Amino acid sequence: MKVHTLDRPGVIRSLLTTEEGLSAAEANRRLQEYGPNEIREVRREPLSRRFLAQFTHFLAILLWLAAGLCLLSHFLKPGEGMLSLGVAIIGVIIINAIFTFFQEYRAERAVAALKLLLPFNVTVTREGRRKEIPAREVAPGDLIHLEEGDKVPADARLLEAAGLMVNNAPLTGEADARPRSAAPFDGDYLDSPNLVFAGTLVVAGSGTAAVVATGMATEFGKIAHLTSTVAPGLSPLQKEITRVTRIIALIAATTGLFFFGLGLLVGMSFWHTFLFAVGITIANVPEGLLPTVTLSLAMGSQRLARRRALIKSLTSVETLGSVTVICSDKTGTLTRNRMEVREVWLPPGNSDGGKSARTRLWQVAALCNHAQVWEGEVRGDPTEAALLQAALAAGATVTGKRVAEIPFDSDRKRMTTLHRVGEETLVLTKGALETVLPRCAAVLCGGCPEPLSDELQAALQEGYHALMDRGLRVIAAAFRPWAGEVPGDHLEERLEQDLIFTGLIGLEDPPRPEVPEAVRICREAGIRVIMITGDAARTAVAIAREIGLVQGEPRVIQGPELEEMSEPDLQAVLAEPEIIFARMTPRHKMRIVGALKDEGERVAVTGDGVNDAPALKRADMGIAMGLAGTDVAREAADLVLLDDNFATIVNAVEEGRAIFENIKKFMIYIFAHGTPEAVPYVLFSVGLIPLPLTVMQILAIDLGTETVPALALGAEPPEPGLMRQEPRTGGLIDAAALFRGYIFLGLISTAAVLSVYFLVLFRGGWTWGMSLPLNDPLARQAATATFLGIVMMQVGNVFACRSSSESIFKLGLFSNRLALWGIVLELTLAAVIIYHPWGQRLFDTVPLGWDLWIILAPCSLGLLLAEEVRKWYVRRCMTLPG
Amino acid sequence: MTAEAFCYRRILAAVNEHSNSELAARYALSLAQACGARLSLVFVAQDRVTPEALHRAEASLERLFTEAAERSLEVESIVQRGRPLDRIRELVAERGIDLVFAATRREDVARRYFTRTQARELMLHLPCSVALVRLVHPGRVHPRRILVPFRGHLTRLEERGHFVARLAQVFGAQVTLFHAPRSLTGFFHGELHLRPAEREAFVPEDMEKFIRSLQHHQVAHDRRLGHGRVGAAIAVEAALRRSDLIVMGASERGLLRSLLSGNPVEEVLQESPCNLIIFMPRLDRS
Repeated sequence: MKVHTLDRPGVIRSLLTTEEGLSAAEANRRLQEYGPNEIREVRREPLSRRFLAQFTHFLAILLWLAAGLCLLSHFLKPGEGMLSLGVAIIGVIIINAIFTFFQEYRAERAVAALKLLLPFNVTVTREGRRKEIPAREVAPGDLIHLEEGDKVPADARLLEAAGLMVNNAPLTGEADARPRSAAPFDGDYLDSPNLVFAGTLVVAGSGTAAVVATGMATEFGKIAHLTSTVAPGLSPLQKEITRVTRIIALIAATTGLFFFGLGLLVGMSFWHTFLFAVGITIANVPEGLLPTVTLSLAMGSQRLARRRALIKSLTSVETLGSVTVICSDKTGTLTRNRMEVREVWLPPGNSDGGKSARTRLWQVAALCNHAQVWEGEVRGDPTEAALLQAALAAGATVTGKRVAEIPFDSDRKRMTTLHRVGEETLVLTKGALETVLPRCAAVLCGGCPEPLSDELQAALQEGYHALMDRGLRVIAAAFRPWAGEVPGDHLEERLEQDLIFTGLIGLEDPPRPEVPEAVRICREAGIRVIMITGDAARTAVAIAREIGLVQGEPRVIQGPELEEMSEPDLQAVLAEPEIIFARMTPRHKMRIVGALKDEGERVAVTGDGVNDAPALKRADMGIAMGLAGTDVAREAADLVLLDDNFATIVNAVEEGRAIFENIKKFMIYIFAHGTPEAVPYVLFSVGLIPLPLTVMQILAIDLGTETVPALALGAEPPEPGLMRQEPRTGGLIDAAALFRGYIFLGLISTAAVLSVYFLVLFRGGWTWGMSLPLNDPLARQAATATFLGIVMMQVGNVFACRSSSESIFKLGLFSNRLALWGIVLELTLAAVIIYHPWGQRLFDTVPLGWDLWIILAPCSLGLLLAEEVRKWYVRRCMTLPG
Repeated sequence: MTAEAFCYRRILAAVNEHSNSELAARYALSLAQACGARLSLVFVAQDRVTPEALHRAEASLERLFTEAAERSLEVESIVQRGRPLDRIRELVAERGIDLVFAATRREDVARRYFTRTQARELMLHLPCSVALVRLVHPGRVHPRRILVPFRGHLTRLEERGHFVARLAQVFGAQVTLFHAPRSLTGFFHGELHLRPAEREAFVPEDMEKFIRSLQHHQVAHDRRLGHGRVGAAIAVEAALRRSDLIVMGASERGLLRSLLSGNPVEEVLQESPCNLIIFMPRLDRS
């Protein structure tokens, strides 16, 4: 009861329909039962829930807790500023949630693009009458009518077919049309020639078919299903940010709790201890981290656009930098997708220098061809255009009247025409050698046909392999004079017999000139490049050798072999150093990508076809072709190459790596102010000094003065040598980063900050042990000095953090102009907060004398110099043998 | 008990006026043929049934009866009036039915947790095994690839194995056993990535027993491990491998647990890319 194996009555019976089609009522019932014939997005977590999740993750819960405590404190003891603190923390939660949500949210447009491949209207027979209905109203069992130019609305079993040819490109990726017939077929469902599939295009002929599946149950629906369900999960950066926020949150919470306990232990009042604990927690939480990362990624995506790579989701900018494997198409990505005739092979024994055979060969190439000369330019399929171009250059006869044609299709792999050229009528055939040669009875040697002997066969095969080994796509040509009438039917049997083999033409799709260098860079950068191509193995290997992708004998896996391969076998093959996948269809791609990801690789994959969409979604980084790609592929991808060039991917990888390094830089920059914010609090607790910094001032630093300089670090260009490192294995923060940020840079800053703090206090007459209320002018002045101290030290820090090992003087003090503008803005904002009445009111500051600015400036410079010494030491260690 | 002890002797296929129930009954017909079981084709007309619906259901019964007779099955056709659950329950008791096939409807699937649907009532209240068929592809009722999602611990494993093996046998289908272990998470690292070899440790022990059952029936099979959300992982696997039929066990999650952590059966029912059988084994030969 397989529908494709049944005869016409069997099909009608099994689908519970009739020769007159469904009745309107039955069609309506089936529509209710199976749903409308449309592609829809698979139900996912509602948007509202995804947004709400931004308020319930670990860091957010911690902040909610802090805000709740502040509000509770305000309720119990009003007038202590805890209300503004609580509100500020809630503001931080909301800002972070909005930033993260928009960073992660991506409208699902790939499915919308798929929808456009289905027709709007379709002709059906219902109750014995033909009528046009909207395609979404087609139901299983409906009889549909197809004509040239129609899009197929649903999967259907043909009941009648007259010269029906269907282009299955959206499903199979093959550009060639395939003939369809209504005869029962015993093979696999998907290979059945009596089935037409939703989303494909009728390119010739007509037919009637009974619908077997509609909407998401169709093969096309499965692509939509996979496209909207398959997700690569969190990007490496998102995972890292989660890890970092959890580490920091843990540090913040532990520190807060520790000092809360300590405060109670040393006899401080509950209120002061609580205030202190909240403050120290807030000081440690990097409120500005997520917005800063987002803005940095946005800037990175702009830089990528300038390098002809259009990024579609912000986190993907960094994902590129982390890829360990790139699965690349060959045609158009590694090569130019511009065919050129490179070599011609003629049978032996051409004593006239092959002139007659050559003339005949070019005649076949020129006339058995659909390419055309249009306004002086040859236009058509790349292979056919190259053949016509070469024939024209060779001076071939290109005029003749085509009287019959057997078109090319991917099953026959050949094309035949019947031409009248002058007085003679000729059968001209071109195609793959394996399908042309069995139709030949003779070989054109020395201008005369000679029987196809074993000797000639051997010579021919040798010539064929020689061309293949050079990476050429080989086209065989044959002809025969035709004496009879033009046959009306059975063209294939009658025309394509007893042909005379003429020669072989070797075409090349040359590699893009920049690709070998890009492949070399990938190799140095520890990134594996795996070619996945629909081309023959020999051609693929030859191109791979030419571009330096393989050096030894690569393992070549072809489509049928992959089909038979078990998962463990595939995993084992993928572990081999040099591997090429040839004769692949796009549906193999997703399996390869899945297997690589299962092994923990971070995978980028290129694609252009409709059914590449699931693989593009499955990969960590889906890369679509901007020129040759379909809308569906472009919508499913994370990155669109505007020039379809592999070298652009490599440029983008470098940019991605630079972005990760830059995020690391500003993480350290942010850590460095954590210590001078926290240490004075500790002293406030144990040494009974006045409150050194209000929580609002901390927020002014974290979310205000810091932002632009931190962003400027995100704009640092890639450091030299970045693409000579293996793909990263470490995270954004590690022990060394924490030490450099919190301890090394943090303690230097703290020393400077405390110096000005005490300077202000002592100048104001404060002595050790003296208690100052929060609203005391001297306490406010000291707190303002702490604020200014942190801001000034962060100025030096911007320069210090621009590289982890390279001297700032080598990078150039003024080479990052955004950093300079950031510093100007930072200082201006600090001045507004300190000197403008609005700033003073909001942040509880008082004006300071300019002498403090003058004292802090050399301190900031000192921090930079100390960092230079550390970098010098790091560089020295790196250059030491071993 | 031997595998043969789980062979169904009497199978009931509930048919109604909708075409999908007739197509779904073909699974029952094939299984009855494989087991040599007696087949009861039943239509229970509810009080409000229209003459037209009655006519359509009877036509379905007639077609199925003819097809069963052509296959030399011992078959009977029954039309009764009343509440479907009550009448079918009576028939199950009267005739010693082992297994009931019924089709779920699109409107059933649209309801959360199947509440107040006939499908749920049959599943919960019949004393025999129940197979609920969700038909999405009328052209592929003859499966070549059957996907069997596997969770941690399965009850009545032998009967499940037998059911799948017999289905696979009669259709000459290949069975893929699929298990998507729950994701492991670490506090700092979030979801942990497990390589295929590491995931092997999470393969349920029952899977081996199930495989033995398939081997006993000489059914071609393979095993796959997935990851991620169970419902989505099953649907993706079915779409990717181009499965024709998913056979999964009925949900044993309560309403509260379903609300809190989702319900894979419901998810697959709603988004299945191919035909689906939800199977509830209750065969008792003791």
